[in-house]
Amino acid sequence: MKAILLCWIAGALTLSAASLKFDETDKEVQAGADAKTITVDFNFKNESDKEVIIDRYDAACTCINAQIKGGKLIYKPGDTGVIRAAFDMSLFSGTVDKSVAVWLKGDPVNKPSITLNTQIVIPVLVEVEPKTLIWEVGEKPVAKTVTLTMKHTEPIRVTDLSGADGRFKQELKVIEEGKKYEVVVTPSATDKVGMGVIHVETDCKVQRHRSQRVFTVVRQPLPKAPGSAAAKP
Amino acid sequence: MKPLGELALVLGCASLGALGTWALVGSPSRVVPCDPAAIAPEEICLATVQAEWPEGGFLWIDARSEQEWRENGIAGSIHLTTVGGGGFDEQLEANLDRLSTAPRVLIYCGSAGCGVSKEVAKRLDEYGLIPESKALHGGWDALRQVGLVKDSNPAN
Repeated sequence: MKAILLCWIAGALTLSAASLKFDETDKEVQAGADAKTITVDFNFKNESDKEVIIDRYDAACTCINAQIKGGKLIYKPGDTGVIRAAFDMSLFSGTVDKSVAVWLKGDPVNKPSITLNTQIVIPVLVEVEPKTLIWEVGEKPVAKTVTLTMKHTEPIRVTDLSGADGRFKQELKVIEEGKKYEVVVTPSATDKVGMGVIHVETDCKVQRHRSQRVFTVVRQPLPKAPGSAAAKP
Repeated sequence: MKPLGELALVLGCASLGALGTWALVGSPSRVVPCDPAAIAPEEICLATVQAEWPEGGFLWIDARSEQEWRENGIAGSIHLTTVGGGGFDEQLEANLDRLSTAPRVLIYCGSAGCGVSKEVAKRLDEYGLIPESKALHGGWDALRQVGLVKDSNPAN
């Protein structure tokens, strides 16, 4: 009887795993238009009756500095802690999703048991729509338009428009000074593949929104249906 | 002596269970599991790519760090990421000739949990530059485990 009980315990040991309970694992943060760093705290508690060891934690981005407050990695039943993620947002605008993975002792290497997600919303002060203009080879080289809408409380003016590729001609139209502009782009020809970038400079006071790009492409028509050959790198 | 005997019994039972499982099920699979119905909309399983995407009909994008890409990125791949480095716009401009002619791109990052490849796929969709952008579920782990990664180099 004792032997059976011991065997049952041996089996049960492999099936049970204590974990940490987080107040929230998904957070949404509204940032300022000029925010450079954003800090988000994830509070947790060991609500199990076993000790929990944080083996490692990893942010898949050099733009995140994740730290456990106090550097504590072993949590006894009832212990609380905080994982603090500091995001460097200097290169981002719009909606950005970032995550921090937490491996507890015993987790498989490629499967952390906890993933902490943060969605950061940084206001877009200069909206470019669409960001890419596309013509297909053989298509009539008609003009296409990109709309620039300024979404700031202060006016933002377009100060310069330049394109590096002579195959595309661009013209700026002021719809409402400081508020709305149009960039009209016309390819000189569409008989062969070509691509270009139009640089739009503004007087926006927030650095990350000051320069914008519009991509222009003449490309081959896409195949109608995929084939069935195997993929190889 | 008695505790030692009991410990040996426990270990023996556990080992017998493990051996039994091995005999019945076989050796553990090294392949990253992927259920098309359970993955994120911007992701794709490697098996789907191998079965449905034409060979040579897509561009590989390495979303890991630039150093990792230079060390062993897939041959013919380009580097495009949201992990550190320059802005996304500048990276797109630097790779525009390859991106603008690709009907599809397949993005990989370090592992199933890294998330960067999904972020790159979303950003590419926002730009509308590529008709179809997908993040490879399992990333580098999935490629390595089926033997698609050797000592490849993007310059090859």
